[in-house]
Amino acid sequence: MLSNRQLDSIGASYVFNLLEPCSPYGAELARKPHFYSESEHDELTQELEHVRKLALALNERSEAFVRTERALMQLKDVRRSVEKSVEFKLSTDAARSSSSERSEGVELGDVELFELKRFLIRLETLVPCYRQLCPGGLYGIEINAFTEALDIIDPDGMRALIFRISDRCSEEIAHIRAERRRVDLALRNANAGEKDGLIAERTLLIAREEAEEARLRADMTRRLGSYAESILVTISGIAKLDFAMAKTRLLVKYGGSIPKVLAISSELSLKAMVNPQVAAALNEKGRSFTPVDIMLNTGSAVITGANMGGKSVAVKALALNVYLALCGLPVFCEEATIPHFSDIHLISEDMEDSQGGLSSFGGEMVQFDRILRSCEEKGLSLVLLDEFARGTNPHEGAALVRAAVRYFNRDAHTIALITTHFDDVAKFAAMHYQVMGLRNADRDALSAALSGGGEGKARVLERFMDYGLYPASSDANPPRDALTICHALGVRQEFMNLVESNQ
Amino acid sequence: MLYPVIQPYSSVSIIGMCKNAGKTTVLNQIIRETEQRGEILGLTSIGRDGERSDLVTNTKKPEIFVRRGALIATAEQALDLGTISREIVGIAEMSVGIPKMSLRSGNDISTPMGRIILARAMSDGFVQLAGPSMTVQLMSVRDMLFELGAKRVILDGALSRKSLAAPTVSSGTILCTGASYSPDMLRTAEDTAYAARLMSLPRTELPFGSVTSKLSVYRDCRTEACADMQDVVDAVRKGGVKAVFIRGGITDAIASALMAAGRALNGIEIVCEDGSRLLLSRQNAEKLGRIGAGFTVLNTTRLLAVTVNPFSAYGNHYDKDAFMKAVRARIPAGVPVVNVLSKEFEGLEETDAQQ
Repeated sequence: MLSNRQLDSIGASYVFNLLEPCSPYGAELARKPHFYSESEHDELTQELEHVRKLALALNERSEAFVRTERALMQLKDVRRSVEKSVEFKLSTDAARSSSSERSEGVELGDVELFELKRFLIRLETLVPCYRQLCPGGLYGIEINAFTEALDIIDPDGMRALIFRISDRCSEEIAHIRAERRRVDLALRNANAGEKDGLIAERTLLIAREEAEEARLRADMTRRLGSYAESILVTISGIAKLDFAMAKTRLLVKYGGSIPKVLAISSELSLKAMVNPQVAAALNEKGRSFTPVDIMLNTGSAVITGANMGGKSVAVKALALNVYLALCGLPVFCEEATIPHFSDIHLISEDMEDSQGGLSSFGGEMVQFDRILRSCEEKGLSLVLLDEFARGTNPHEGAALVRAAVRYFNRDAHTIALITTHFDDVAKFAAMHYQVMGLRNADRDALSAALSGGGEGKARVLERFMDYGLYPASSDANPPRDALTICHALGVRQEFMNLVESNQ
Repeated sequence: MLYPVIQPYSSVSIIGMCKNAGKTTVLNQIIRETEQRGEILGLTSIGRDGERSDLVTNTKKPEIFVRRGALIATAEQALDLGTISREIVGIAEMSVGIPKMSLRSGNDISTPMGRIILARAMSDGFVQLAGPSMTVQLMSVRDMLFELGAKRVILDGALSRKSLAAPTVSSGTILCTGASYSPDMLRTAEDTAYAARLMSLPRTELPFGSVTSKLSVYRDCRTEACADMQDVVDAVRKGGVKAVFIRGGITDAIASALMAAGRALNGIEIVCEDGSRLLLSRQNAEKLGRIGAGFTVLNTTRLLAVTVNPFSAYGNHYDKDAFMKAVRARIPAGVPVVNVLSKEFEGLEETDAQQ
């Protein structure tokens, strides 16, 4: 499984941050979306289906969508109060049945009842919005209003966003408050002689009012406790709806698609795949991300190509989009068919932890061994190795990469994608992709632009570089563009002469 | 009679020079006078105040007594310490400058004593005020009190929270001082006068309003940004600088740095955002004054009155007439001085209040 650091590195954390749920319930789900295991395939399909339906609804009934968002934004987290009400109910029920047991629950305070009332009132606004947005509802998302529960807190039926125990709740409370009002008024105009008696009377009334209010609040809490379980079901429905709507907005805003995740399949196909984090960084510099197509099946695939050609970017974009799909999020592709992997593994240059003092090569091998073992135990795994074994000598490094390609190529439970600069690797793979790089670039135009000096050298290279990924024959060796790039970047000529004389 | 003093101001802060300066007496007096006129008052504080007895000195201290109808904003736990019968009308939230993302953490205003709750008094009774601790939060709470129907909001200041007097927070300020400040009456009077002067600084006529940099100087009819205090000092020494503008607090460190310019400071105007930003000691302010530099502000604060309490919690009471006289002689003319222990605040005459 990808570590948090890897999620940052492939841009998954970036995407999670783009989600803008409206309520604290949705926000909780969006903070780190759940990765669905194979056994949860139906739930994943359901989640993606919700997004599809909501995207349609947003298109056809955008007003209802906006109204639902507004209703969601009004909601605060009341779960603790709801739970407290059921705890209180259980403890008082227990105390009644066996008098020896002492009740441990605490009745809700007036601030908590205020919050609960506000929540239940706002729920009455949300429910019709949801019905209008999704007539018939979304499967597994149940959102109901609780008029009877609201009547307990608001017996006057005023539905105002304020809370006080109503005078209607008991004759006693109405009587105490009337008395208190009489004493308050008398005290305002009392002379020194009358004051002491009135103050004593008021102190008594305050105590009586507090006791009676506490009794009434306890009664309310107990009665609300019977609704707690259904309220919590609605809250979990709200969380799912809010999260799904946030995903829908992401889909619409960034123009991705809803992936097809298949349970029994080994076909991985991503069309016009983009990494939104890298794309945003490029846009800032006035450039754009070249969308990449990739199709893989069980066995190994190899990507070769020039330095700076975007191999690592492609691998990470693949990791990102597969991960997002398996979290039930839309993907940043025109079209995506993804098998339900049980796990995703990634080894890449920028995220090796120094594992117990091992060198970068040692760390990489320890991690690789873990992946081999894990693949054996699990269902279909996606293994991504970016410039595997680059930290050792080219001779043994190439042998390691070739072996990895051969190892995964005969494994029916793995789809492996390996990028490399080493020769004679692709011939052991089922698929070979190449980054075109400068291969088809007009060399004369390139050197003219480089000597022109109008723009930065790296910038010129980027302009001439073809970042597309193209299927290549299995015997094609990696292109030799390293020196062209050194020249282009303006590495000192004396040094380059030495390199060339050595070749 | 404090009502005529505060009458034109929709939000009034009360600041004490020390504990037992008579802040709560003043607050209760304002409550009495405004509620007699049927005004709905909103009450909150910065930090906590209004304990039954003072936790530090254990002297008897009056509590804040409100009438039915008043709106209060106080922390959840402080709310339960009051004796009013109440109606919960809201939970305070930050209203300004909150991006949508912060929904994830919620934008309730919370304090060590819980969230800030807005409640309406449904009976007369005592309340315990424990408001937010940051001025931006206080501004949100103040605005919520207005929205709920308060005609006027009174902000009770904890000890030495001068930021309350900032014009962005309250439109007018009452400064409370008393014998508990120091056994030395003259020192109390001097320090009170210093605090009062900071709240009565004149507005600058120079165009610093749109200047965003932290430090800048005014020379040849235009403003120039400075990188650090050394830059400022160099500019002043070079000559031609008419004013120095410092955004943010002016501390003793900044004052000392500035004094390196020595006599070149003569005639220079030191401009800050408002009087609450002057955090430097009286000694340093006076030193700058002696060199010939003067302070001005972008936004003036309104000092509405100074109240004095000749009774000390520690036993060394002042002579009430001598204290009144000492304070009055030192504070700007036109600012009323009131003895909180006088019967019904008789020390304040209507003519004083109207100035």
